[in-house]
Amino acid sequence: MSAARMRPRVNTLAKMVNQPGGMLVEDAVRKAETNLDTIKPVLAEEVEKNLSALLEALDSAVTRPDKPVLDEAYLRSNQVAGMAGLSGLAPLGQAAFSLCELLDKLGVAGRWNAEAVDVHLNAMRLLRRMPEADKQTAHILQGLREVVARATA
Amino acid sequence: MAAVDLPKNVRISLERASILLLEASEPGVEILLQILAGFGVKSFHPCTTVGAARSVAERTKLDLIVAEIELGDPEVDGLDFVHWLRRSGIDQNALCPVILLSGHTTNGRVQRARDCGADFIVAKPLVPGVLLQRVIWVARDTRQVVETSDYIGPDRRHRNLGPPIGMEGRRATDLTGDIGAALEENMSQDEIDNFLTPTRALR
Repeated sequence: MSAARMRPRVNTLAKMVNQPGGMLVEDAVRKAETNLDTIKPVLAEEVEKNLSALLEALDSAVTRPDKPVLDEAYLRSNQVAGMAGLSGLAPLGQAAFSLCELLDKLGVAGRWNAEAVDVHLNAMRLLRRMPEADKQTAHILQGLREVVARATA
Repeated sequence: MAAVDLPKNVRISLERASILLLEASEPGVEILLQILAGFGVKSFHPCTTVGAARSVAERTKLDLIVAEIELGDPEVDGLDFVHWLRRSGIDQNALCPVILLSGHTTNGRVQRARDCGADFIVAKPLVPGVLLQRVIWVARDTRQVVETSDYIGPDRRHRNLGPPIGMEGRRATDLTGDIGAALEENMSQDEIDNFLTPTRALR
């Protein structure tokens, strides 16, 4: 077992945060949310760009695609997962997260399940036009979770 | 946006903070810029590659790093950057607080994320309230830095419960030995209260 050395850390952020003046945390959050609203159209465009590239990469992939294609698809899906919620497409982001989970687990197992991937792609095509998180989208997302569980069992 | 439990009537001052942002894409950087600008930050160092981030860390004093794990480069990711930084020997930045961001994290990265030496991981999509909560948390964090042959970063124990039973601690501050039976009766509530209640000192 290796020895551990402990030492204090100089945290310059701590000194700064506590300086007099500044802004109330609730104002800071409100301002950040307002700022985010101004870039919603840019983010929506980016989500669409990534989604199109993802669909193109995986559509009709009956057999397991090569690693570079899978890596690219995973990255695109991860981008959608991270941005869709901020561009007003939260359910689409969750479906993209589910696809990431599926691709990762299939990759670890060295398997491919074209049906499970197809279900995800179709759900994402649908969810890009369903911005509101409601009962319908909840059903679709629950279905995707079950598909991942079954496909990777 | 999801409601976040933030401290009321607390002020923060981040105008003078110098923050490195590492994201996979320009829109990703833009999200961070907009959120942090809302928090009052004025000095940003946006990067989209680990190479660029390394170069900033080598020549600029940083107060905080916010980095995405998945950068779309199969050779290197945000975890490699933090791992490099902690061992870089760059006096002014090697132990700089790091908040990692992640949409989905692959199984293979989970353990590396724990071991790279970052302070916090925040899940995407980013919620400004959550990010601010983590920034405040990092700023108030008093944990020491642990250095071992395979880990450099903040002490991962948020509570010091000592070494596991039956094992010797590796830190000089770890206490060893068994806790024996109590030698005296428990203190009464009055006695405990007397420790906590301020009383006027008589001269």
